[in-house]
Amino acid sequence: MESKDSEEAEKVSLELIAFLAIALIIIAASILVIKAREIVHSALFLALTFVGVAALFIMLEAEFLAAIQVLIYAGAVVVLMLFAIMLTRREKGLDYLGTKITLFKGAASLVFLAVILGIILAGRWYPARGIGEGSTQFIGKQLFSYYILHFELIAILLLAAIIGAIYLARREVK
Amino acid sequence: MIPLEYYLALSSAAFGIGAYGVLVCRNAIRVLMCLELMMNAANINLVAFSRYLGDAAGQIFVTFSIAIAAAEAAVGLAIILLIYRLYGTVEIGELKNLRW
Repeated sequence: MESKDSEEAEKVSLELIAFLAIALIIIAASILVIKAREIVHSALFLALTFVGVAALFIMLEAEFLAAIQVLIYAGAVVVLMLFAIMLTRREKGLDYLGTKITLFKGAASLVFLAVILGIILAGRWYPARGIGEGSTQFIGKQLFSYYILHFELIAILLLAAIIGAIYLARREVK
Repeated sequence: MIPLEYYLALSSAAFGIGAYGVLVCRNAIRVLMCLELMMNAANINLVAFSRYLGDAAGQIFVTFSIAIAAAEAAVGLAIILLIYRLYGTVEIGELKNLRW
């Protein structure tokens, strides 16, 4: 019994170390998205953030979502951002609004963060329970049975987004 | 398993950083990147709750949320390219036509 407890404790501490490492990567990369001087660099740091979030999904036993995260976010969205950066002019100088307003906005964000953290730490949360079934099978089954209407709506939304994006970005043909 | 609060704290920190970036950044593309950061923070929350409550419905919501984020990025970047073609800049401080 005691050995099982110590084994459990070791597992928790390993999980904690992994979590802290991933959290450090996510926080540092997302700060660098804002602070990087070159906007291309901030796009690459955005990709790093997305990969960190994918690692977090794996820790939470959501392998399917981790795969989607890497494919869609780190793959498609970041490449889209890079294309947009390449197609626009490079801005010179500091990429921030005036310093006085920046300070105020930073303070507002910090207050917001403090309020949320206070609520989280004051609340009492449920103890952990696992997902019984393999989560990927469960998602697949649910997506095509209970959530089929939502699935179709998302399909229509994506179609509308594609048409809208093409319409907006096309060049006028004379 | 580590406590749920850790995930919530991480996601709120990521959300705060994203909100700060949206408020502060001048380049419209960077603002869009910070929006994606905020969406990711919300996704972390959903997946963590789905894991800790033993209900996989949260993961399905995240699937939808990722699809919507992809659509949003595509349309947003198309609008930014259009603005660039019209005004020659993507600085949001310069776009004053819709301010009134």
